[in-house]
Amino acid sequence: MKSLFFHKFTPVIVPMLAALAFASSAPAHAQDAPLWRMRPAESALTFTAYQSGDPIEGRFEDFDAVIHFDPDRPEAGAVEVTIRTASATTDDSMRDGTLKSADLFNVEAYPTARFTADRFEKAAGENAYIAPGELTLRGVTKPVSLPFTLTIEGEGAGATAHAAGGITIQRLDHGVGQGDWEDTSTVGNDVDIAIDIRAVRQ
Amino acid sequence: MTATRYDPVAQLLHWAMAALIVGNFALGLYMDGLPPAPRTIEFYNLHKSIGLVVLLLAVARIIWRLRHPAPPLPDYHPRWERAAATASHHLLYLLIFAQPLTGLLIAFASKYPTTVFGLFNLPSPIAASEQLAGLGGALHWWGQWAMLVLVAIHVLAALRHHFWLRNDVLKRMLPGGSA
Repeated sequence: MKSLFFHKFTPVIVPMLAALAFASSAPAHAQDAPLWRMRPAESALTFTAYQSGDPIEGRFEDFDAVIHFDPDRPEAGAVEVTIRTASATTDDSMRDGTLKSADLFNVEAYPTARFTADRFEKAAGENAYIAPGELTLRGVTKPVSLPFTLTIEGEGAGATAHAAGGITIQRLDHGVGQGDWEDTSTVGNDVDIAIDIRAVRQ
Repeated sequence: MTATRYDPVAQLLHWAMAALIVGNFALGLYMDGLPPAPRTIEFYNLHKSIGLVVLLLAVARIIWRLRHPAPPLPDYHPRWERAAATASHHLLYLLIFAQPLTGLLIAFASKYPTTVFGLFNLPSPIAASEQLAGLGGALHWWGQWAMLVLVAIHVLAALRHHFWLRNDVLKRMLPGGSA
């Protein structure tokens, strides 16, 4: 019944809502902020897990970020990072196979991970910002606030931006570690995630 | 004056290493078939830890052996038998160094940390390399079978001396009163 109701009235409701939004000069929409395209070859998404306390470095080789950002109005920005989980590598084929298996990333059931934020916030410190967003990994979505520093060179279309930041998440929050891998005494729960993204303003 | 038995230190080193090598051989075969899991990592760390002890004991043994020569073999053995005994012992000495060292090569070249008896992590002096780890793995794999063959020859020869030739060659490596 509900879907029927919406089908029937959608043609009316949507323009009404749109008109309302413009009339009330609501907070700026993400699409108001300029679009930035990530340069994949100059961008890195890395993670560090800990085995017996020693760092294990890895990275996602296939990910993309769609960024809307205006340094004067960070709240008008938005970001969506899409990560292909099967592109994870730690430069060890055996370990990578384990990482992608059902008990860890389960890349067959969860081929993509995603980080989204529908605004940015200015943080204390020069060029410091926060992306208060959500991380969806292995089908589990958790709030994650990503702090980063941003440097922009140039103006208008063609300007380049460099964002670098990182956070520490707990892998078990996202179910990365089923069965035997729930044990954190050998492979720790904490995983550091670092971004180093370069993008060009469109 | 010539001793007829190995001294207690040499005997202790011999039997401690025998136990550790046999145990680590079995552990190595067992853990090789385990699925990747934290417990498997613990088995690997135990295997590596025991291997390190074997290596340290091997060094101690060589030093001890250089200062305390082995008791002589019975003099009725033909030359070829003496040569075979010497060669197989030298090969055994080579392998008790080679197995831990090729194991270390795998540990160092892999990107996995080596935790020694859960006490500390062994730092790797070399950069990770799947090629080197693969080479170490192949050498370690062949080394285990070479070790198995040589230990079998060693044990069978000792039993031959004891039960067939009925001499004191096996007893030289056993504790006992003044022989």
